[in-house]
Amino acid sequence: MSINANEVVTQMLKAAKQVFAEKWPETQRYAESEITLFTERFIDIEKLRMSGEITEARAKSHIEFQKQSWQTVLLAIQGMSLLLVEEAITAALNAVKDMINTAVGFALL
Amino acid sequence: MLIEKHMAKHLLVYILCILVFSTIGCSYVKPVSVYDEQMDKGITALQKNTEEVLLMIETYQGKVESTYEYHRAYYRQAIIDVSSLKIRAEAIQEDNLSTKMLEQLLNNIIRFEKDHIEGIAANEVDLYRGGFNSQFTALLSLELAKKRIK
Repeated sequence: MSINANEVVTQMLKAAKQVFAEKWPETQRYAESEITLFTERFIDIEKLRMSGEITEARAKSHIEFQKQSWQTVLLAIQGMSLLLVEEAITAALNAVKDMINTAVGFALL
Repeated sequence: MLIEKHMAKHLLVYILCILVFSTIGCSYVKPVSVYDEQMDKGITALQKNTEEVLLMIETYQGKVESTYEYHRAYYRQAIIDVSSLKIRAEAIQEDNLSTKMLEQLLNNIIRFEKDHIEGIAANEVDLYRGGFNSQFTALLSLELAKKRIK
């Protein structure tokens, strides 16, 4: 039994796109929300410094604190994106599993 | 016969592509380890304990309940707890993202402690709270994402 290469590509892409369409917006919303929060905090640090309520040294400490925190968020986004890629690959392979296995005559996938 | 040979070759190339693609996919996602319930519980408990300290600093300004000395035990335990989670994360999978994230959390707990020794005003508390909550949320969000996938 022959395999239609175009059909395999189409099915795999469709399955992968579906995963991204469903799951990526959640990661995107999370990233956007955190960007807003960090921006507000940096503005607050500046306000406290300009009003003299905190020293320059303390302001720098706050900035470093927020930078560490922001890096943690970026790593989480990186991790969630990698998991999304894994899920998309799995979905793509599952979409063509029966087609491939039938063609080769054994459970290759 | 020639047509069958051509189709077989085409099929073999396609299968090889799928195998290479899936192998690359698997090695590409290596930096993310599996879901760990201990991480989930550990971070949740730490968030609660941290919030208690922040609330007391905010509420009891000028009183002993807002001082570093009053909360010294929190810092000791928090450092132990995060270090323990780091070791566990590293044991589950070397060089993974969660380990790096915990390292950053540890850095911030140490910085928070240093600032607390010097004194923290009520109007600074939200900055620490926000930064910590972003880190706790990041760690928990990644764990929950792993749980959904696996």
